Amino acid sequence: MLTDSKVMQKKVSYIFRKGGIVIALIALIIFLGIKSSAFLTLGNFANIAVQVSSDLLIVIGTALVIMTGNIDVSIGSILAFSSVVAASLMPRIGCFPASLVALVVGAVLGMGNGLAVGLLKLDSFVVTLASMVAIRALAYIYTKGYPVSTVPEGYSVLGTGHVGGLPVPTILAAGIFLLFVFIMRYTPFGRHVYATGDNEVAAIHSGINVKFVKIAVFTLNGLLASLAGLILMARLMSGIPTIGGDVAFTAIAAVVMGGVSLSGGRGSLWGALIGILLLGTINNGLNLMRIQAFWQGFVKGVVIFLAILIDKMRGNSR
Amino acid sequence: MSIPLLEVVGITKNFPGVRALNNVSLSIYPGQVHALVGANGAGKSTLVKIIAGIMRPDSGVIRFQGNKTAIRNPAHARSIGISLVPQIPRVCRNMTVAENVFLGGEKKFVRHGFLRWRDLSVECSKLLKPLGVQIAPGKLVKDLSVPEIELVEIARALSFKSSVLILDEPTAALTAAEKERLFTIIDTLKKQSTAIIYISHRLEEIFEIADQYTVLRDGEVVSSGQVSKVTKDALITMMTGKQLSIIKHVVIEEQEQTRPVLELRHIAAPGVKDVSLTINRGEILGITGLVGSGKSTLAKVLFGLLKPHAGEIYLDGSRVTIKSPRYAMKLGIGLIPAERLERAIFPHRPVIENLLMPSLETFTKFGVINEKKARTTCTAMVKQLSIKTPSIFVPVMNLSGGNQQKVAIARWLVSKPRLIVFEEPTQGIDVEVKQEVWNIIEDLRTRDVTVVVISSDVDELLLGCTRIVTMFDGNVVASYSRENVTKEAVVAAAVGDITTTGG
Repeated sequence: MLTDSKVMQKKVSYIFRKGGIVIALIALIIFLGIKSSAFLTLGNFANIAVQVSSDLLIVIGTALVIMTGNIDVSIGSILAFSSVVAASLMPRIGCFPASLVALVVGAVLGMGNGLAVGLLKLDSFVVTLASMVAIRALAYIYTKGYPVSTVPEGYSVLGTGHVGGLPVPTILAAGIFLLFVFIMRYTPFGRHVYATGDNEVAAIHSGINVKFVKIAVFTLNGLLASLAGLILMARLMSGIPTIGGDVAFTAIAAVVMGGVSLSGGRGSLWGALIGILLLGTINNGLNLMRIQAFWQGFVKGVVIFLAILIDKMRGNSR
Repeated sequence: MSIPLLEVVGITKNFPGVRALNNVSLSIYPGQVHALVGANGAGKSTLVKIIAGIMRPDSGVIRFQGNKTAIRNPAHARSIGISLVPQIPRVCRNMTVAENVFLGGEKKFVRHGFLRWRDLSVECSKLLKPLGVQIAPGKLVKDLSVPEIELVEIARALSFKSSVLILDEPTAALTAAEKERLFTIIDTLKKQSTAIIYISHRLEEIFEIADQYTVLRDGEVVSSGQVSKVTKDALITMMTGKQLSIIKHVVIEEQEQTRPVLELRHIAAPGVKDVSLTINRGEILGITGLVGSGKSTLAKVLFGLLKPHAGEIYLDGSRVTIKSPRYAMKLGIGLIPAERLERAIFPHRPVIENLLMPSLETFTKFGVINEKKARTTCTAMVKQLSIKTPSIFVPVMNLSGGNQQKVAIARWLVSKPRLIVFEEPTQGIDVEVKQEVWNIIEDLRTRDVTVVVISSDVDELLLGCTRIVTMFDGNVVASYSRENVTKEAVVAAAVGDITTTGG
């Protein structure tokens, strides 16, 4: 039997183990702070916060999907398609209705993935690989391959605006993040997501509607991807069909670095948040250090690999 | 007695927060069966895992044939002649029987760089033949029954020509006839001076087959010696550390009222041909039968996991269609499935979630879980069933098998259904927890919960049930009330001999 102090010890070591990535982030911040005088400034942190916010939305959805033991690689395409739809509709029906249409489009496309995985019991990787290709093509067809630059001036608020000194996209992403932290912890749905990923058969035996859970996480992922698309569009002031090519993979990397098990059932949104902050900080640091863009991808890849390797060596994910 | 073939000296193994083994020593002799006895969590599995190279000890040595040997990994253990047949089969389900038997040992069938599939099949048949089974080497393992998979595992161990064979609960899934066959095989191996380490919760088997015994309790050796010089009661006392009469006779007051709760009429489903059965309120109905008799299919039908293609189900007199487990729960039916790991447990989730998962909605207000209420309920349940866990927040896989089972049972005590189906409730569980499980079942009855126990273990049904029905080949072939039942009659009916049908 364990005494209380031993339980405490276990908890402390648990935090430390999970904290590996936090330590990496702090180390990186210190390193960049020494290397570049521009790094440790409020303006730069605001920069990182803005850049990371659209990615964070994708990370939330991706984390949920992975927690159920599935994967979704199609969100970059959903992001692009819903943003070009919004951009093209804005002059005709107005900003707000067009945004709403884009969100619905994203949710419906995500739900399509979910239906194929949940009801037809198809493998989520293959399903979303197919929809990734097809939906990207739709974005090209819809725009004939050209950017749609018909976004009204005022819409830029969503991408670059400030409220009370804080960037709008950051407020939005942070709010949604906290909402999902709450959902995952304090609602049956959140627990059902974990249960489905940890042992689907046992989940069925517990009366959990696993089909609904799967359809829901893919739908939410599509919805959040389209919201991220709107933010990016507002920042660039045009809907670009080629955008978001690697967001799915960045998000998966962040989620896994954050300690969410690819086999499902384990991990937290907080870990995933640290994961995307780490990747965002690396991006920012490489820019400040004027590392050539081609090398940036290489460095990111190496860091992702090392983070997961260190995690494994700490015996975190068995 | 000759010199020991395998000697374990002073082995200690710690897991985070638990000392699994403390200074354990053991000597295994050629041509003898050494029984390893102990309650769940006593350290038996850990010990054999260390011997088989799956785990490394923190301290202590292993001597094999007199030489100090550090067993590096399972392949190394096999190469020196130590094989483990694990409790839960480790097979590749999508590969054939022959491929599984020779997995990792294909090299010897390679001629000129090519694998000789014919030789593989022929050799496999040769290994399976003395086991008395007709399994085609080319059959896929996923198409085999559980006992057949068990035999494939044993054949696999034999293929390595092991001098030490470790059998972890080999009879848990076997029928009586298959068990006898296994014992014949063990006898043959003994004559070939193979040393066998035998783990089983069924103490009767130990007196049938073993020469030596070692009792483990809380990771320590409490006793060891010759089986012929010990009694069953003494073993139980040593295992549990307290005096305990084996499965206390559950006292059952006969109830007059026989109001049906659930009625099955001419149910047919895959594996079930035509079953009509009435489950009366307040009874503990035992259902037994061989593997493939349809008893587990019946459990699936009752819980909505399988839709019958014919027949009707009546609940309190009105017809119902149990279309899903979710709906079954709504109707007030709960199932504690066999194969705990695959069907009941969320291994990485904390105890509290495992315990409350089916009833989470009842802990919510405006869709938000009332965590304080959830914790209180969970803590009370852990206390009530004396579930041994360091905290309600540790992953349930850190608990021993018996405690995991208690968590699975506790789920339904929280959601309070009126009919609970237990499927093999004490499989792979030690005597002490077995007793606790039956106490819970009896307690449920006093709280007006009707219980159905589906089990291959006729003995426990005889002790605890108010009525027993036997299934054979997809039909209910016999029904016995408590007063006029004998084990012989039940067992005879289970193999299709129903000349002695009782009331």
